[in-house]
Amino acid sequence: MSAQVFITGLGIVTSLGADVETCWRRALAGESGLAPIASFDAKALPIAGAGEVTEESLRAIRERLPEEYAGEGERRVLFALDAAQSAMTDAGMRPGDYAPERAGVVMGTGLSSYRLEDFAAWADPENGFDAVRFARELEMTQESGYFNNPPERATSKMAEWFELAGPTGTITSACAAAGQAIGLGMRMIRRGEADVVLCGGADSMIHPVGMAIFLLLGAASESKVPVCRPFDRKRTGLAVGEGAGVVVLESEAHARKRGAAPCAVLAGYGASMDAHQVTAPHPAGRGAVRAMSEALGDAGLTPGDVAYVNAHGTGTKLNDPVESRAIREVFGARADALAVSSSKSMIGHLIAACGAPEFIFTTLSVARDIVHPTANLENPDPKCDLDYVAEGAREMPVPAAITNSFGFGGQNATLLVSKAA
Amino acid sequence: MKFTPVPITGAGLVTAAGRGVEPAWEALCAGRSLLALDTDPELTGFPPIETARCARIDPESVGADRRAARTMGHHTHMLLAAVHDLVTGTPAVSEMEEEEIAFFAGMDSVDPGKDDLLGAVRDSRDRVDLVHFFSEGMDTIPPLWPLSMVNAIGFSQAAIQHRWRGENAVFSAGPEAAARAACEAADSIGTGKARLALCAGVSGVVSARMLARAQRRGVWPQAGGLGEGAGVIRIEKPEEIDRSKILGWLKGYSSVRALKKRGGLARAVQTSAEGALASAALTPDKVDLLVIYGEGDSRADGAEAQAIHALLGGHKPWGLATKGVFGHLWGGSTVLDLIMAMKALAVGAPPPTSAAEGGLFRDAAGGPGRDELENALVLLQGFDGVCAALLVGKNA
Repeated sequence: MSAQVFITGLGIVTSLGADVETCWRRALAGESGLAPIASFDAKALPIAGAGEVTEESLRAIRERLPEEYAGEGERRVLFALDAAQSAMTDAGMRPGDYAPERAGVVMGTGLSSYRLEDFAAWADPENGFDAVRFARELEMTQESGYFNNPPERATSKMAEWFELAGPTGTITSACAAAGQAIGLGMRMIRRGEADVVLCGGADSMIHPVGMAIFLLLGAASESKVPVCRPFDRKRTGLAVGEGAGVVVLESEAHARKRGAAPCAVLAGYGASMDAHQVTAPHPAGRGAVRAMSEALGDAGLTPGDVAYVNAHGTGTKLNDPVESRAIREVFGARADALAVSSSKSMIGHLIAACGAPEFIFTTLSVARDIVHPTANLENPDPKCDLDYVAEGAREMPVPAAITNSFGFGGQNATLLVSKAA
Repeated sequence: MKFTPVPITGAGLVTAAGRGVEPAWEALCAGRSLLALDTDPELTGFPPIETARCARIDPESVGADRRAARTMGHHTHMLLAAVHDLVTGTPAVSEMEEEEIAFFAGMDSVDPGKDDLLGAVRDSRDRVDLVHFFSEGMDTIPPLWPLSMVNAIGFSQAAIQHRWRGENAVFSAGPEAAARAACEAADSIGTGKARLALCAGVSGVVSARMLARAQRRGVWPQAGGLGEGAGVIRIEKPEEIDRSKILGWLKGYSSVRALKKRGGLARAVQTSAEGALASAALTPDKVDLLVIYGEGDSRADGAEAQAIHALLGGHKPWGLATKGVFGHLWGGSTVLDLIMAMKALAVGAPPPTSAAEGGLFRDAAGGPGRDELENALVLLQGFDGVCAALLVGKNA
């Protein structure tokens, strides 16, 4: 068995707040971060709201970032940098505490931010897109848009700031991206490629084209109030969120050498592909079963060792029953004793980043023996027949927990967290 | 870093030379550049550019179903074609094996078509009217448009088509992404998590938006001509294969990032090369063939030459460079270079190349004997100072 991979630092930005303790306190209270959209004129948008990082949080983030990073144009990059700074602080780690070439960074992120202005400014009513004028006016492209924010930007900026000269990766496996990024970080440490890896995910699709995408795909809730109801019979679809989660993973030896105490241990990772349909999960949850089983096997644990599942729990008609069925298949009789909850009921779906804050909540559950509820679960769906912690936060022993991230397109990732010895 | 050598048993390739490894190899051996001045009117606002584009591919001809094909663009078609050519003629996997097939890819971003979203913003030239967009404009966008914009969806299409259900990841977006994919595919086999692993690399599609993205990123036009293409390699468990099918062995990998405080790009190129050699338990004098990155940017090329001098000292391997023939494939370049390196090892004769210049390499005239080439080191530079190296050999 490989040496353990310690989780020694946590950093988070969500609609619930821009620090771990605020997010966690509010999640335990079952508070919703979903609200009407404030960052653009959304009055004609047939979506009531989203899990948007508040202007107050954004202002605080810009104030505490160093000047050279505070001016970043894209929200997800700002979120990533702030979460990274928080995670490093939480880990008590600064550049110089590690050999740069033994320190890596892996981030999960999503589709770049297409700005309507980047299409409209060069639209010619007669002749379509004026590519010639566009080519000569590139400096006019939106600072927050995709021309100026390639997918690896957050990864690169984090590496530059914290002098992480070791292995690197930017994963774009849709909603499984952040889960895979953290899993890869663990593997880099296990196989001796790095001592320290900063990893997680950052994303923001809360912009006009982003919101239109979820409407076009029929995935977004068009409820008249901003609410997400995972596992509820009256669930209406996902609520889009934004934010970031970054964790410091560290080899046991490296952490012990510098006297760092782990929050918990990242003990297992499993990834799989449904290979079924681009727009729907495998009806029997085949890929989900595989990812969870692999994570258990990777950790050398059995279903009886796990007490809590932080579900992907999107609140969509398709995901929730399939995931519930998959959990039952993996855990067998143990499934009825599991606590299962969905962070998305409070922070929305952070899309490519979703696995990162959910991993942080899972880590806190293991570290503090308490799990957050699934908010808004009022009308249980008989097809979702597990204990979803609907009544409120629950104090309980959590020796080990898993967190699921299942991507549009069929990519799946499960991470397993256990208590530090 | 622990790196277990793994055998590469198949390759599929799509380049401007056509479909397959042989047309690409022949173009390389002939020193026949596939780059030509691109006269696409869409590109006329940019500095003149030479490109080596791939012929358009009918997705149904490579096994995609008609419905799925509607969501795909040329980016995905190139991947599907490379995969199709790789798997054609190989036995179908059984139900039991599907979850033991891992799939990793490094993929460039997908760019919207030049007229995408125009209907949605037609009356919004000076100021985007969001009320109009959400109430009417949005309805002009095809419902499946979002899927065509996500490189992971193209990846999923390949997995769905071939029922690859094992571990996976899509890395973005430059040459380092496919190198990481190769490392993870090898690790899947080496650690026993998969019995078969695929590693793919896919370029972007040349367009005004791609050039705009590259220019804003600061990597073009200094990087020279751009190419299109996709490549895929198959890696298998050594104990389960017919050894006569082995094309080469992936034996080492390393990746680092250049930091100004730590010697910059040249130091990073050297460190990544040393790391790859160390992971393969080899010394620099065991490198018979060096596949240089050589993108044509004087700063990057200068740093690479400096690193090679420092790495090899007086040792002069054979040299190979592909970008003068195929252009720069970004996310597709790493797998192309790996495949060409294996081919050179197998043939025992590196093609004539501009890499022979500068006194770094042996003169390819005359060529080595068939058994002289044992190990090839493939160097690459990704975005924002990421440098990686892969070590491929004829034997484990």
